[in-house]
Amino acid sequence: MNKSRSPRTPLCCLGAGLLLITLGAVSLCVGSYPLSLGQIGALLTGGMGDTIQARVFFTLRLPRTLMAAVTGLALGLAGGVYQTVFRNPLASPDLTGVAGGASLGAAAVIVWGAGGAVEIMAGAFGAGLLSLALVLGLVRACRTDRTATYVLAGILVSALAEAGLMLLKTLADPERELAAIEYWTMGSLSAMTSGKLAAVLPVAVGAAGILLFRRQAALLTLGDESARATGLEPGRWRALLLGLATLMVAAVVSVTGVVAFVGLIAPHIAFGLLRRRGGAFLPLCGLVGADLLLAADLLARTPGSGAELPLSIFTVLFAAPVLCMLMLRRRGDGDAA
Amino acid sequence: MLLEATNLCVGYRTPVVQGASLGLEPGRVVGLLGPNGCGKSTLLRGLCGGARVFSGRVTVVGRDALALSARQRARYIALLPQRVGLLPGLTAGEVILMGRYARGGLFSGPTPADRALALDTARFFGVEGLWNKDCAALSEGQRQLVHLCRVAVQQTPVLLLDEPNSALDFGNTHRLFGALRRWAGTQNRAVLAVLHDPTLALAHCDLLLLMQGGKLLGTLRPEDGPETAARALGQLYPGIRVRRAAGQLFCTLDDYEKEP
Repeated sequence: MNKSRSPRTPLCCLGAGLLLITLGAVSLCVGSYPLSLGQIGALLTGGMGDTIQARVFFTLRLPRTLMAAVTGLALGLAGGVYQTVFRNPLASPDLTGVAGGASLGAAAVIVWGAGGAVEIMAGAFGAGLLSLALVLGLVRACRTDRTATYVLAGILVSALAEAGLMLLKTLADPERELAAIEYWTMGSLSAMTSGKLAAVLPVAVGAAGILLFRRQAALLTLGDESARATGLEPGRWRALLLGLATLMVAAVVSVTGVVAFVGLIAPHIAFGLLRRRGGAFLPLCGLVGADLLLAADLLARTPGSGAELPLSIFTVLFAAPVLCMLMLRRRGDGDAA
Repeated sequence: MLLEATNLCVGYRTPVVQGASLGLEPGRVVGLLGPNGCGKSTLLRGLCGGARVFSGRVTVVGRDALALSARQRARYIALLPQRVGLLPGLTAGEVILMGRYARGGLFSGPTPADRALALDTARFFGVEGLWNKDCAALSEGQRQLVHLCRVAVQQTPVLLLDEPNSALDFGNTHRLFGALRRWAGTQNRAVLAVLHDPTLALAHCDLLLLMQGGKLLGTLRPEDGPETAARALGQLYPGIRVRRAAGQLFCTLDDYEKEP
């Protein structure tokens, strides 16, 4: 009986996977320079040589589609880890201030000149990791590794980053720099090129670690006292798992800018589908996140005519009904959950 | 002695428990009794690295328990705290199997042998039917049985249980004590359980430790007879009466209204 698995798990994973492939294929085709699936097939098998199609495909379209999927995967997986580790369905990667820190880093680079795509990415990544280090350092200094300490430290670091961002916005040149900062904080893949695919590496490291340690993540849900008595040092493992998750988030945010809510709703959708947090839950969080981001990126570039919309507009639109459903489902639950 | 604590001072910012010394022998079930807030849970935490130890030492199977890593310690001492965290989405089976964490590799999941053991334990406590149910959807008592199974499959020589029967019905309470007696008797494990009902404690424990105001006052054995029991328990519960009936000691407290 312990082996009796409902067909739910394979069905959900298959569905999310098929959706990912479909969205990925559409994402490869659609754009200001449309490509057909036949052309893409030829490109991938080495045909078409050095044509415009080849350049569009390999330097823009393919990196963009890959990055959209990787970004969604990283945010979804990180969200799943945060909710599990904090034992709170409202926890999300924003909690450790990584998005705020990364925004501050990007804005600083934009205002202080450099402004090149790679410099902005490096600045955002560095500042994102710095804010994580600050949060972990604060938690360590408090000598209590309770979840509330993390939340407070995250709020503190986020608020500081926000203050810094406000200062930079007032200092910024309203014509060019302010617009760039604003655009960055709404998230977009429009400037994605193959050169920025380096961000995939930290995501791979983080995702591999998290999937490897998912038993430890589940154990943390028992609470510190039981986790310790079961053989898991809670403070150390919480820091490691959050570190891996935040590493992924910092890496993708440094490329795309801040993409709202994916880290919060992807785990809720995955949990709604799977109805459990064991087994395939974390991988499914990643898959759902990738689906969401591919869909958002597709919608962001449909207006055509060169103008692109920020990703966050669409991820918020996706999030609203999911969060509404969540609220309705919890109606009358009392404080049991 | 499987577990021995000498002159233990445990607490959080300040000591709560002072100078506690105790020993747990193989094959014995020991009950820890005392009024609410006297430091019983803190003492239990102190024995397994869950609270700050100001002074004193704890040895388990001849090793310094406080110097062991959490993983090593979990192979010698299992603790069932009063409150266990809960996140909807984990099945009872998954929770029970978590008890095998310290035995397996860091990256490996539960083995078939782990599953067989966990299922056997679940069957003993009558919760095998809940195996695939979400733990968050169970009643308080069912969940307590699931966590008892989780602690049991840790297969440690020492078991520390903090009010293990607090949510159990009459039948399950007796099943629990049956399990404790069996673990102690046939597997030579040592059990220390925080209990609140002196009648139950006298009926099922080999030895009672009495605690008040952060100090261990002394010990009591059921075979000492009703007069000694009444005198010892009277320190904790003034006015308690102990009677022998049908070969067993029964405790009652009639004049609680006179209590300050």
